[in-house]
Amino acid sequence: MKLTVSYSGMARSVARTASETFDLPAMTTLPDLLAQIAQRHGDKMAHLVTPAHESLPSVLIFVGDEQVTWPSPPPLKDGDHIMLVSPIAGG
Amino acid sequence: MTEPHTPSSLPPLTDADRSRYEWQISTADLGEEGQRKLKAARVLVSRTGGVGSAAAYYLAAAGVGQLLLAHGGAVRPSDLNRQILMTTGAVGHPRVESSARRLRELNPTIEIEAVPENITPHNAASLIAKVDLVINAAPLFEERLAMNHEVVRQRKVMVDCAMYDFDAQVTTVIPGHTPCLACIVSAPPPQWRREFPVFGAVAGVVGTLGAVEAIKLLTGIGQPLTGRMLLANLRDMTFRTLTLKRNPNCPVCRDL
Repeated sequence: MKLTVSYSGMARSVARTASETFDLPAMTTLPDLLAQIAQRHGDKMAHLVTPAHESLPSVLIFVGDEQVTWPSPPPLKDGDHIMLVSPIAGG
Repeated sequence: MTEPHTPSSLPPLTDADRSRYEWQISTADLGEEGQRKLKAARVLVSRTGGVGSAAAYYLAAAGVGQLLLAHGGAVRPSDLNRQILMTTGAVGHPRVESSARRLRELNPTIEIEAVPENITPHNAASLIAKVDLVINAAPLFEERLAMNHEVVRQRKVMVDCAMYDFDAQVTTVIPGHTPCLACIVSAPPPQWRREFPVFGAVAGVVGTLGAVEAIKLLTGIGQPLTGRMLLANLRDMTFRTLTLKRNPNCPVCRDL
């Protein structure tokens, strides 16, 4: 299935793009997708999207307009738009 | 707000007030009563950097009756691309003094208290106790989260406005009703550094959005960003509002 992932805040700086697509097998889960994103963009992205121990990823994740809540993220489907919002603190 | 004013308890407007604010008093839903609500309001702005300078300037212009400014350190040349309450002549002098002076030049009719400290877990309680609403514009997650913790404990309202590069994020926290900052920032991004890329114009947009949000919350006008985050990308001028969810396991607000 084809998924569009967009990035905001530091996640965009790390990805060096505002948006990109992933072609992944059917039944891919959100944790699978996050692993693919981390693999594509390296350690800095892995630190943003990988939950540390039992905590949550440091990015907010939206599938469409719906914020993902853990530990039960929604299933993904072809055509979904996933947004990774990295909290920022610049004042 | 924490202690809603009744119309009879709001401070009256003077003729000078009516003259100064006549262009905004005509705003739909504001009127003289809304202006009196602003006059009665007490707002903490922390810090008066790129974002906080713009927020404080427009809150002073709008006639917020009491502004409490918290910002440590002295003005540096590198502040001047964005911290519009600082001046070249103030380099080497306390930032908060420059901020207060500029605001008094703009609006001498309001009360301004300047605290030469950044917010810490040690001073947050006493400073937040003095106000109805907090503008959170600090450059460190630890500082923002310290404010959030105290805002939740005291059930105060907080407008969190943040930027990075050309990105902006603005949301309003009403403890017990919306996600708090700790719901949103479960773990500060590990790469975050106090020194971040910033154009003053971008920080100014974010601070101005924060001031607009505060004015709406103080006067009851419009639809605030409660439970929502405004996400702006000023590189391509896209604005989007996302709905946020409370974290039922949030260590700060789960019991509210």
